[in-house]
Amino acid sequence: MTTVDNTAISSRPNWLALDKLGILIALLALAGTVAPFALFRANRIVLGEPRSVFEALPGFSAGVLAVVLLGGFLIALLRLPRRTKLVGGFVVLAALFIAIGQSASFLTPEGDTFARVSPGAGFWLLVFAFALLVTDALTRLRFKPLVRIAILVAVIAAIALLLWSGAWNQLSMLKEYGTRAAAFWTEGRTHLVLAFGSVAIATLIGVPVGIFCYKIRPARAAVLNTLNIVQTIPSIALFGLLIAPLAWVAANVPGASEIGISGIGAAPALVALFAYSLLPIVSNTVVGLLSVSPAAVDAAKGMGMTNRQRLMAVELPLAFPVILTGLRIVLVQNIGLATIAALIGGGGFGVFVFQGIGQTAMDLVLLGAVPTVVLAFAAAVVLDAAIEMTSRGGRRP
Amino acid sequence: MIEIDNITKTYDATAVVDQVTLTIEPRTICVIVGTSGSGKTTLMRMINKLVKPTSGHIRIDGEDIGTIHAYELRRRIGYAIQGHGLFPHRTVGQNIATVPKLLGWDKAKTADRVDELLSLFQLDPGQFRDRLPHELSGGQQQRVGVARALAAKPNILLMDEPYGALDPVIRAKAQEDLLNIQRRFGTTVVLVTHDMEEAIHLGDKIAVMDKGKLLQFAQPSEIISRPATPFVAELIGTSERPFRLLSLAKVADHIETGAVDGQPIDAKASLRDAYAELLWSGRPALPVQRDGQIVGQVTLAALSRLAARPQ
Repeated sequence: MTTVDNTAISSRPNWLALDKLGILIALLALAGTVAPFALFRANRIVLGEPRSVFEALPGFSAGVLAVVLLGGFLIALLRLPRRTKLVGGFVVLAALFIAIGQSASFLTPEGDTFARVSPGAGFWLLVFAFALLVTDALTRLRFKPLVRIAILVAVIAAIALLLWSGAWNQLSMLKEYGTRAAAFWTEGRTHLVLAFGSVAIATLIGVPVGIFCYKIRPARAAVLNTLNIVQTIPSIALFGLLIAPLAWVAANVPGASEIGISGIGAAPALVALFAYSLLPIVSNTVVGLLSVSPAAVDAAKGMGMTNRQRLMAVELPLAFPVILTGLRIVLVQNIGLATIAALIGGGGFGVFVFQGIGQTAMDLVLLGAVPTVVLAFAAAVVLDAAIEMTSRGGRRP
Repeated sequence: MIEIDNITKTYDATAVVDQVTLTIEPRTICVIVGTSGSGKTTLMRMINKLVKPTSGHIRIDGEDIGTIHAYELRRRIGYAIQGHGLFPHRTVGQNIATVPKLLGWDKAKTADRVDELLSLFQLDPGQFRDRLPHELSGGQQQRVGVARALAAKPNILLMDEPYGALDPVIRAKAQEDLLNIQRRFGTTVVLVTHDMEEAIHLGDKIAVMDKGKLLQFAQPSEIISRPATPFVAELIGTSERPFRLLSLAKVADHIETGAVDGQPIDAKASLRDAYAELLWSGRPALPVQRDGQIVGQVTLAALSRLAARPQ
């Protein structure tokens, strides 16, 4: 009898079992289908009226989306191969992104330029649920670094295609963009300069300081503690604190105001972001150098490398992945923090966030927030891949 | 020739190496043996100026090393350490080429030398040159470490517990390799170990150290038969002495005339191996063969005499 039972159990297909994370994803997705898919507002600041999937889309599209969602729901729930889950997740996300654009065109009355259609809680929940499915599958599939970057590029290209094709033009966020296109790109450039510029300067200064702390032991504690204190100052306070000294420099140092230094604006923002970047870069440089195998360092000395040769040929290359990890931390951190620069007139995507808060226009807040998140995410993926490539010993001169 | 002249190294008023004087003859293997903390590694590291002596002088071929730049001196001296110290981000070939590159050898000469050394250590150049150290076994990594130390054809090779991390079988193989290479190139080897067995097996001369002092510097047979202090005797292991003495000589040097039956032993084996075989097989004598020919016998009675303390 038991033999028969055993056969029955083992002959049950593997994929019919439930996936634990899949249950959570399915619950989120279920909540997402119940919550309103889109919000309709007669103008940009009134409260939105909820619209369900079937109200927000023409009948045929709503049907297609429902079928795709049902498929995605099952793919998440069942223990299917990870590649199937990955592809399924991408298909659902693509369907959601196309549908939200379509619903915007569908809900906006012909010729009405005041009406605003924005994604509702349901849309966001669904996106979150299936993004979770995709990232989980990606993590578990352990793709090679270059493959991960290729996937990132493909996703960005797909989003760019949607934007370029005009499929999203009726969405509230893009209507906000439409009235501010020039400002959007200017602020975007400022944002990049603030985030990448501060990290670049911090790297140029932080790595040598880290090497100094590594070589001269007594300096280590003093330097790291000082930088630690800087790190504890709240960001808004630090932005504010720099106004007075930089204003003084601008007024008293010849040539300072000509190169753009002033009490408010981009200069104090850059200085503050730079100050925040120093600790992770310096400490990761020190930790990275300290983690180099003592045997390799001893061998380098014993074979007659000079201090400089040892640093350039052995210590820095071996510490590089750890230093790069520090860079990844500050780059992602600064892309986010740079939004606050807008508070002291430093520009960046934060300008839209704060304008949006002031006008209670959430679409405008999103216009600043979404590109920031996408930038930070892309930077994290690219640098993670770079760290993996350099630490695998796959480096050849 | 390495002349160590009354050398002392103190850290915070404690003498780690205390007034050591010894002369290492060219083309010999000198093993410095001692427990941990005996100062043996510090003594060796003063030869290539990794440690600066507090007082005393070291001369290499008559030249005081105090007058040579540390990095120039080190490029002339091979250096191999426990755990090999290979650069994990560089290929086997690049690792071996380290010192030739520092010395500015041209590419073709360096590449030839790398392949020559790999072949010498039984590593196929085509297969191993472009691998990374972590793709090699422990024994292979250790061989690459020694090959790297020999890359620029140094007259002197310093080795700090080079076989400490190897299992007994691979260690025995590595020790044979070292003996062969030392004979072939006539390198002067200074090797630090805590293993007396290794010291007796490899050393032309053994320097025994304890608490910074050089207790005895002599040939292995002398150390075994006439230990200078009770500590030296203890390091050898009193119950091991007869066998250690036997391990120093080859069967070839003690062949007697006469013929016996049974499984022969090779003339190249050590007397210790012959003695073990005699005891194990319960025979009073073994036939000795050389190049497949029986050339005589070795007897239990003779070996027992040879194992006794020399008078």
